[in-house]
Amino acid sequence: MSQFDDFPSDETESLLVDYPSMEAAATSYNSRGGSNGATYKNRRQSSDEELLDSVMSGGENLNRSAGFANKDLDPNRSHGSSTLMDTLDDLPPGIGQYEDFHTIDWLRDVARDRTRHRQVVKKKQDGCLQYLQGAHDAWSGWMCVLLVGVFAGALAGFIDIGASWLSDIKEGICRDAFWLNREQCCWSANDTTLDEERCSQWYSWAEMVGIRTSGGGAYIVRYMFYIIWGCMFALTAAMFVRVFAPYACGSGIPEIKTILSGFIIRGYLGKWTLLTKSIGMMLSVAAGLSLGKEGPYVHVACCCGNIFSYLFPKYGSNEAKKREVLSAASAAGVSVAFGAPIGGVLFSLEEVSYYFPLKTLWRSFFCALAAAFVLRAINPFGNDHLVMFYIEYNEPWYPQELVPFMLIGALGGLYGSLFIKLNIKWCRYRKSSVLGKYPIIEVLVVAFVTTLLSFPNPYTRMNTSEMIRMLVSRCGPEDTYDLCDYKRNFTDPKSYMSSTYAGDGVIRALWMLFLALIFKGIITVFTFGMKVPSGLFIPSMAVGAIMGRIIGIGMEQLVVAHRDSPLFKNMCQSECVVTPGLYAMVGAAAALGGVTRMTISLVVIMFELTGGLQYIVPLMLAAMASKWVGDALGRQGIYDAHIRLNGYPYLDNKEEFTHTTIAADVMRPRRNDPPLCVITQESMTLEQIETILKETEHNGFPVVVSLESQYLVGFATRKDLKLAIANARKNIDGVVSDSVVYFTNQIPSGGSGPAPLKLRKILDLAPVTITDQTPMETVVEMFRKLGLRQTLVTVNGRLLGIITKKDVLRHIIQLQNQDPDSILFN
Amino acid sequence: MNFNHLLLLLGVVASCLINTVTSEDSVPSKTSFEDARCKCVCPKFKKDDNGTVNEKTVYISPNADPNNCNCNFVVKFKDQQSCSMCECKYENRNTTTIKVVVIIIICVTSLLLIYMLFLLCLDPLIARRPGSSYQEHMDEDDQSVSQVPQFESGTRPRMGRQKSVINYVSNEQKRWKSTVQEQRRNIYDKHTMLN
Repeated sequence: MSQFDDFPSDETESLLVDYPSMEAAATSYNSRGGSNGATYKNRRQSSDEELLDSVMSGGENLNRSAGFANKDLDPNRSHGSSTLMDTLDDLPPGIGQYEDFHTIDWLRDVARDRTRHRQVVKKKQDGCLQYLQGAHDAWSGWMCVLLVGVFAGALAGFIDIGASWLSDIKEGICRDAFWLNREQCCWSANDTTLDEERCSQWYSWAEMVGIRTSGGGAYIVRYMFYIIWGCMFALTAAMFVRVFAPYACGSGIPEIKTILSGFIIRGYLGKWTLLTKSIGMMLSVAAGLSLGKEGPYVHVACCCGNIFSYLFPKYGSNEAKKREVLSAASAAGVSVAFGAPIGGVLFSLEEVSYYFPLKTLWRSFFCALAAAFVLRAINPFGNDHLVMFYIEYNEPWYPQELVPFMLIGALGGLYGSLFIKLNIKWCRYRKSSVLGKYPIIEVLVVAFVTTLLSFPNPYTRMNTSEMIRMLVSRCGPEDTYDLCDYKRNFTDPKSYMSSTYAGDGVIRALWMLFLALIFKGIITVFTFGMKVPSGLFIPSMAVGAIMGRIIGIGMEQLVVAHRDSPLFKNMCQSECVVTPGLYAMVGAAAALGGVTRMTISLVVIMFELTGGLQYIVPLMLAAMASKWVGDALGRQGIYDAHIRLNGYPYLDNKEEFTHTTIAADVMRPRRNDPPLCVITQESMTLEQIETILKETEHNGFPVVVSLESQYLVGFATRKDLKLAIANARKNIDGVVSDSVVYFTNQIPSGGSGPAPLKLRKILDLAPVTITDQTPMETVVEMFRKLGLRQTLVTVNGRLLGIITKKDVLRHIIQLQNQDPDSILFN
Repeated sequence: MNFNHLLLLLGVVASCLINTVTSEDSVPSKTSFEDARCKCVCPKFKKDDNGTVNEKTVYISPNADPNNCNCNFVVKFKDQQSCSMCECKYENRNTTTIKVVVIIIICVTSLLLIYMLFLLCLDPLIARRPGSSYQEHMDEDDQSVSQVPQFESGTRPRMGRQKSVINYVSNEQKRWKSTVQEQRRNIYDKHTMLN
């Protein structure tokens, strides 16, 4: 509030002048907010040490200090809230739930859970059964994340096996054991060193149709089969998504971020989405499209999290608590995607999660651990390394090399921001043009072009993660491909440990890698955002790894050619040691960092992914350089850019709010709007309230003492009101349209007329309130830190207006000179 | 045919297949797909400038056990010096897991394909037959399910007796269909999400 004094006085004055008119007009509000305080039990008595409680009472103080003059209401409040809780069970089910595309109220949900928890603890002394129930309640969080981790790990194992098998099906089949992919087919054969790593059991499609020679005919047949299979897989994936679960398309991380920030998208984490995404992921990766399955793993794991949370009502019925499980699940997703448990936890913390207390950190840790363990037990890669791109070398790196590392980092950042710009442009074009009407044809065309262009080049033909593995590893004795064609001196048994001059094969490989770089870089722009499950990690890492390897080979040749120059002297003691694989690794990190703008989690994922613990400094440097360059060229990472493109109501807690506006500027009603819809606490009839519900679309209604003196009493959400009224009409005798609805605790006795309806139970008695002079900086912080859904604006205790989360988002966008109507779902 | 039934069907099919797969396993199959191997990698090497370079660098033996997984057993070089440079590793894998997983995946995918074809081709034909009352009924049902789900719990015993299982299943399917239609509208028509 220190900035409060800094406001230009004329602005404040103009607002002060406006008060009377505003109060009298009591204009409209467009709230979609709602809050239910029915569950705040004994808040005063229990001095909970946690922040949220103190903040809630802080909100109350604010309320009172704003001049709550109605003295006889005060005892009612404390009394009311204590009697309230005993009758919590009477409330109709469904109270406190949210509708689709609504924002959740963290404060209310956390308070609701705390009440539930207190009841469980209190009952614990009652008997053995209750004690067991209490114990179950205590460990259900761990149990839930354990189940999520186990299931996510098993599913990842399934998908890994399936995807690698399906991708090899494009080229051929293991005739005697069709379920094996090429690597596994030749696993125990002693004749693997033929061209292109194939053995006698592996049959290409040309051989399967009977063309035994390796001439042009066989090549064309293989080419055709490659294209046909690729298009078929892509078509199937796109059709599955369209028919069974449209929500399964895309990477899912922008939506998960939005959901974790407190938004409801029903069905986004459902079982059909899980099934379709799992199968669709395999198919779209196998189609050879330039996309990865690592990002969608996060979505798949979150689906598991959502489904398993319904086994534990503590999590299933409380949206705020459910998000704790989802945070842990997203950690498990990355954990299984890369075999990087710690990286997964950090990814959840840095990139995905919104609200991440220490308890969630430990749960995420455990969840990631369980998932990684199960994946390891399934051992889909058929080797003993859990990590995907295991590097077996341990070469040193030298300080001079930091310059090329930095360069790679900067290039990665450049690529990242370029990619984001082009991809967003393309997605926007797809959204607004006829292209968006033909999603399946689009997928087919892109799949056709991708397979057509990627078959001739061996580096694009192979599975992308295989290519990255090849690029980050060192050329060993067993590698016979072009990239490792160095002019080695075979009389020296240690010749593989050092760098030498490149042979013709390396030059050829460099050309092919360069073409692959351009192809991958361009086609990924068009692929990401198509209506198939598609991740971004692997394609961007591939681009970076190719770039890094090319620079690495260049650096290697430079050092080898100038081994006597003072610049490289310390790198060449007896033999020069430059590891191009390390450059590829750094490049992968840089490009991924440029696209996603991750830093810590990226570095940790990279070293867990490769096992190269000693290369942390180069990786950190590249990640940092990439972030600097990327941020200089465009502020947002790809996920934030997609959130903005779709207009999800996501209040970014990384951005700073620096404008000097105040609450009165953002608050609804605006000056010329119709009056604010309020409900009075003891004078409205049921019919009047039903009319209000029918004629307006607001999602919550402030309750005031009377229309004349608009002193605030509380807040009731539309959904709760509707449910309670419907319930009362059905179950309580004597409630008719003329019944007076009371939100007070005591009902004046002896009144004539029909039976009154008491709705105090559904009323939130402690809505967070601010004054109209509160700077928006503070308001935005409140929305971010407390996870508010709406806040009421008062002056002198009188209700003036309301600010919802979407109002705040609109305001922020407006200040950035963008169209405020682009925010989704009003 | 809603999700649970699909899952049930899937489980039955999968368990049948697993049975056949595992029973097949008890019969000794061809030896080329072993679950263990010993892999030796030897660098290319020539003793002097006149010697020849060994072109083959990777040697795999499926019938070594962890104790004798070494160059002498696998590679059978004539001189000991060449052998000392080789690195041998004993590795394990589990082909049964791979087999089961791939077969399950094939089953799930083909089930989904069949169901998709059913939904795309046959279902519109079936839906057209009852005539105009279909749409109306669906709307009503949709409302009762999504608007006031809380009353279902109270009235379930009475309803449960009346409703047959088929009714329940078709209701579930209708609900699912309307959800998917809503999602499709958001994504493919209005382009409000997941662009």
